Amino acid sequence: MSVGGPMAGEHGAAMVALLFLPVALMAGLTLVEGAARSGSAAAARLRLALQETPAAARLALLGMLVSAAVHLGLAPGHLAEDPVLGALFVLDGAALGAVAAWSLVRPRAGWRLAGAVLLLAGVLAYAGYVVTGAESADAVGVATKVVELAALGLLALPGRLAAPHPSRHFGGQTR
Amino acid sequence: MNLSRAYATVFGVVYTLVGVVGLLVAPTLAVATLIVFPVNVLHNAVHLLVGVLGIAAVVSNRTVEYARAMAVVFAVLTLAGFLPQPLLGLVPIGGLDIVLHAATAVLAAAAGWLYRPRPTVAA
Repeated sequence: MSVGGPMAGEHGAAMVALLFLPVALMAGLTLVEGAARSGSAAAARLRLALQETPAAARLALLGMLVSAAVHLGLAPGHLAEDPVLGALFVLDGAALGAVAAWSLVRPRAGWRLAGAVLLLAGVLAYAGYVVTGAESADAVGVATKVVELAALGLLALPGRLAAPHPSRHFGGQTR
Repeated sequence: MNLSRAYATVFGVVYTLVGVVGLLVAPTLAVATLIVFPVNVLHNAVHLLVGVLGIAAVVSNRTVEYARAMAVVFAVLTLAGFLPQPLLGLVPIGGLDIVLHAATAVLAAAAGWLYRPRPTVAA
């Protein structure tokens, strides 16, 4: 990678993964909406679960998916030079993605706690790597941790505060 | 589901993040290659603008207009990607950017025109 400045080499892959995340997410949501409108019961259930997820929780889910994309993007570069760290990136990214899926399939179960534990573990692990000098802080790493902390805060919001305003809902009529 | 709101939220948050980090790592007009994407300060500034406008659209409840505008803008950027690069000697938008811009335009069109939210029926 030829990008200079405060970004370690492997972190360019994380940026590329991040660029593809909105397209992948919106392609998925568009397919769900299309299938639901075509009469698919499974798609309709998924759409309902999304609509019933509070706005703050949906933002937290987006933050978790950002973190997952970054970690999965980082994994290939790290697997070659530090297989343990690379494997941890894969596990973290997959686990965050799984919790996001869990939140839609079983929205009343403990997905918030699982997500919070994963996010907190990621922040603490990064802080540990930076403090011990094993990793140097860079723009991608710091930005990802800011997103993770924001998602953590949104997950911690009480249910009433996190409830969506009807007109601000993904499923609500805005126009 | 209100796809235009989802589109503005997702692109708003992620592109703001990508724009800020991009400006930190590629702060000059010199074209750098981010694995497969050519970027420079103008390219990153556009990412940031797309993101900030998305967040503003969510806040001001104008997400349908945002999605439609993005459909047009990214369609133009897709076509411009086939011109000699960097475009006008300033912004690199060729290569794999063409695929990303085309997909972004199609999804924006779906969110802005095809799958508008249905009116809520009062009980």
